[in-house]
Amino acid sequence: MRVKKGRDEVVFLALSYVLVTLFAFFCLLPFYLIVVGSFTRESVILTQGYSFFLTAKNFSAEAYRMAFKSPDTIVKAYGITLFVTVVGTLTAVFLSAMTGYVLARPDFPWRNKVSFFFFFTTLFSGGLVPWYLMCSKFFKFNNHIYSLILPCLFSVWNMIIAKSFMKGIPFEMTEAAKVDGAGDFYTFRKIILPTAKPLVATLGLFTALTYWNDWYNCMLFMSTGGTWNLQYTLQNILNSSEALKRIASMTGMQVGQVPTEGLKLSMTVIATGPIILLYPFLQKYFVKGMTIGAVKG
Amino acid sequence: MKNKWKKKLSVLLAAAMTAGLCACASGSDSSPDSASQKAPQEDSAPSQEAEGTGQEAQGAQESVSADSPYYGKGYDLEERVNVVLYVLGDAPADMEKVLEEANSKYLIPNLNSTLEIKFLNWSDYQTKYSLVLAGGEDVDLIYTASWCYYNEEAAKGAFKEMDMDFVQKYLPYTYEQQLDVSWDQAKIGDKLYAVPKGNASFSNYDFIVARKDLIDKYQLPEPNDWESFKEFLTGLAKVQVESGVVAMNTNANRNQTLEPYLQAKGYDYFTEGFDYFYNAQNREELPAWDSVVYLYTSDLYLDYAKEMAQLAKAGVWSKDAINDTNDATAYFENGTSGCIGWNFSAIDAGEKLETAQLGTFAVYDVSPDIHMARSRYNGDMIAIATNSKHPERAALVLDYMKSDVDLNRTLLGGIRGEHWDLNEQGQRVALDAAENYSWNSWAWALNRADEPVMAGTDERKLAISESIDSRELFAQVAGFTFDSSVVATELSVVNSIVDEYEYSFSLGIYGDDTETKFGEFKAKLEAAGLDKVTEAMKTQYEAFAAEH
Amino acid sequence: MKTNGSGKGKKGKYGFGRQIRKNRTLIAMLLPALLYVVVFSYIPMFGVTIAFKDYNYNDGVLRSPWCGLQNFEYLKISGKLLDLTKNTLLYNLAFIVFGILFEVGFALMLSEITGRVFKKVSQAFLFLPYFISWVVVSTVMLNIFGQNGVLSNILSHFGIEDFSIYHQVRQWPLVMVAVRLWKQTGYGTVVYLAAIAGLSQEMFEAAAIDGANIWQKIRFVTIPSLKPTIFIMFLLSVGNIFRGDFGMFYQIVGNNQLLLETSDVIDTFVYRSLITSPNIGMSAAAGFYQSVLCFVTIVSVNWIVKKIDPEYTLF
Repeated sequence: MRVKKGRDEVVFLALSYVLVTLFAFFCLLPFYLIVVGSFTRESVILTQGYSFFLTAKNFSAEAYRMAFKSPDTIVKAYGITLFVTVVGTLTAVFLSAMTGYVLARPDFPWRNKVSFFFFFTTLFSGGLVPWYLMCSKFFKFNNHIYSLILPCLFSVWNMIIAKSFMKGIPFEMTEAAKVDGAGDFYTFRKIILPTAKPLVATLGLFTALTYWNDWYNCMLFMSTGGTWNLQYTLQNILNSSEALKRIASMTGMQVGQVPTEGLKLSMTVIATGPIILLYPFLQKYFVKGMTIGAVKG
Repeated sequence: MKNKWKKKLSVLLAAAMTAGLCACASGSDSSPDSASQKAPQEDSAPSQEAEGTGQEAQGAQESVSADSPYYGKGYDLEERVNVVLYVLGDAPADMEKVLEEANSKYLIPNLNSTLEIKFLNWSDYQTKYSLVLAGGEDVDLIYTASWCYYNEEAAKGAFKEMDMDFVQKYLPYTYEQQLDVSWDQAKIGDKLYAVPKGNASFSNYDFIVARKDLIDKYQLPEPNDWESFKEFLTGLAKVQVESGVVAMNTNANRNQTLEPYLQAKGYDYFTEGFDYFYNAQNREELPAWDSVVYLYTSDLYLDYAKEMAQLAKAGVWSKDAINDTNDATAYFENGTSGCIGWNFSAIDAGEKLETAQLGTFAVYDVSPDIHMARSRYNGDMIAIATNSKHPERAALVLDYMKSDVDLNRTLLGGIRGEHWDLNEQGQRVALDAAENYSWNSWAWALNRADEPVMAGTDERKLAISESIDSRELFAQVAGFTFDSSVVATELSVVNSIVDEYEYSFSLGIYGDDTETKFGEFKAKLEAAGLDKVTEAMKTQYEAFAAEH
Repeated sequence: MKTNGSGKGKKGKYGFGRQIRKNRTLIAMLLPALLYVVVFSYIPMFGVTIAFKDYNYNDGVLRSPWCGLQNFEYLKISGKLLDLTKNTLLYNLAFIVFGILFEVGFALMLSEITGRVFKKVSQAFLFLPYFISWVVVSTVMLNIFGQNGVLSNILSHFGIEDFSIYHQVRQWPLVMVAVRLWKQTGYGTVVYLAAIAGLSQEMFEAAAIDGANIWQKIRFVTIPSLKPTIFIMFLLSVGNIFRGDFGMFYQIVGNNQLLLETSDVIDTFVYRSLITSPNIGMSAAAGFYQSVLCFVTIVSVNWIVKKIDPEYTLF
């Protein structure tokens, strides 16, 4: 319990504030430019580049208008993404934490071998074609919503992080629960999981971000426009210009409109918007001392 | 205990493998369709045009109307079949409506078939194209092109090989209506794997569209040939501060100068898709092999690189152009570029410029003397997938789409009277709903030679178009295609090296070191086995020349 | 000879069957993830063989003919393989090492800072770069650091004309590391923050009682407690050390050959080689090459870490 701050602490805190502010500023700056740019008239972006200040003359919400041209598409896309993110994240976090817990138990005889079994899958992969063929022909993933949920459901990376955290929770807690007659699953659910709030928050954040940002699985499996999620809808427009340029130069064919610069920027803002609010919300779980006294109690 | 674990693991893995075997066995279950080997139904009814005496034949072909161009020709049309066609692009807003029209008015009554169109977006097709063919979903017809994996997928057995008998039987009207050379250009070696488009344009002819208002204002030389083009550029670069316009605001997104340069020197592609060039000297005969050069190791290219370095020094484009991947066309449309080097699409950019009232443009041909051949017919094709369950029906549907003028125009442009119409001169006019279905946004491989010209086309476009048409070269070498599968390894390395250096040369970033860098570039290409590729090209060409 | 209630297992006090029964709940808890991994990773894994096959659709993955090391040829004759591997390795190493430094550093600082609003806001800001795709990042970079960019304008007031970051060929690797840190730090800090949050407070109280100042506290209490997490994150990253971040290199370096001389990685080379004529066998070969190198590396590093402390290993 500090009563007064020592000099060393003041120095450290001052240094911390300065460094964090500086870095945060550099992180914010480009994003600020992007937001300003998304509200700038297209011709101004092309002639003058990005600028910090937006004059009324240069203001234009055209980029957003273009993006929201069919608002039902965007709304539906948001809906799909939200659903997939919530369902996927809850399931995935529970699964990773549970698996990590089992593998962290010192009394589980095969933990190292099973860990390797899991880890090996991150090293070698058969590539896209066999995986796609299996999902598409065997499991009939095409145009089903679970094709967006299943691929990201379990990540070995998350499991390993979970295992590392679980190791930090003293085994005595599990032993104490067993003495009281609790089964393994019950122990996990009622005792360990509530203690591992920082872990749950971390995994929740990472998984939610993965689901939120995933457009690849949507591209592979969802062919009808109405079933696209948010990122894919946006990514499609953003990437179209890349491929279009290449083809146009190779073949000289007449192609449709190539998206404008402003549109690229407004897309970033639209896609980022909601999820950035998740992080501060979870931030309270990253406060020190979340697990005080769990063992003593 | 350890042994037991190993055993357990191996059992688990074996089970996994077995399951995998089953999964993939069903996946690659694409036995070549034996339907084409079935003898076609003997035609009992007279095979003349249906004269209304369809009563006797009704038993066999009641599923198809007597007016159908396919009626009574011995095709098995009893079963209703859904044909799936994959194309590139984005689905137009009214696609459903137009498909409904096409199916109800044409395909169902006359071919007892329905057409389903699936789009591969520009952003995905590079990944999804292979996957679709690998057997993910049902596919009967698919768009392909020399630049769109035609060679690669054909080599993998993805496309059905068609002999001319098949074409004559199942694509009868197309066969009648299309030029022979189109089929030749679609072949790889002697084999045909896709149906080429019906009309080849001059989309491969590049020219310069420049800012006429700036030329007048600063009294710059007009770019009527390559030298004066350079003078125009350097002249415009000198007044950049005053005009606020970059002489040629090009970047690493598209090479705007190479094609005009080569044309001005009289060179054209020897064969589509590979960087071998020859100077036709406006003659039609097959060139001697000696006159064919590989572009990137030639002095021709070295001179080009040196000239580009000089232009870069003169500030014709931004020094950071090499890292700019924005669409350079937009610069011209927005008035920040003095010119643009491209094909007819450059004129579209010019029209946008004038609509925005940011300047005026004029079209300049820096190669006014060259006679060029049209772009190849293998630039847009439709192939029948090997995995298709109804290849003959798919072929018939394709034939119908290409050969019937009304159906063709419906697919290309939408419903007549709603999306488009023809005026008295037979030119095409866009109607109110046109923005929901723009003309020819996806059906490039279906186009016909008699496609109606758009009414009110800009005169500058018509002028250059006439000029190019009048200099059309019917080159015999147009029939030659190169099968690259024998040198796939070397070619991939060669391509990666070219890809690495080409924009750096075309934007002149090496400055005075250009010649040294060129030497380095050339050495790398040769070390990568360029000779093997050239040797293969020579062998195949000599075989081709011997037969023609 | 059978043991109690189970047909498997040798006879013995701790027979295998008994072990299974004893841990059956735990095994059941593992089953969903195991099943998932078997189905989605192990079954498709036989696709690794594509690297050694001449793949065609009619035969599929299983029946296509073998072709030995043919698909690896293009990597060999390019003459660049060693350079590419070196670049990929060195860049990733720099990203990992500096990444951990920055992420742990900021986690420490953020956890000591007390201002709640400041913490929330600054942490959210740190996260922003993660959301900007590399495509947009490259455009933004051009606009800020390019010849006509914001930085150039500022510097011209100090007499430095036409400054462009893309012309600093020798310092370019530093630029790449800096950009990477900018984008990743916010995301990476989270793990360490959570780890710090999970630390028991007793140690800190004991240290305070012993009169430790904050530097000592960090050095002797916080960091050692973070060691397991740091090791795990390090090992996880090392497992991918031969796989370059394609999006980043392709968008930021692009087609600039002068920069490519130092910054071409395996993934961008493969992309350039195969973009015009894709070849599934050749790209599988490159992937296999990278996998083997990663495998050898991680097994070695894991073994080394085992010597230091068996508790820190990945497996």
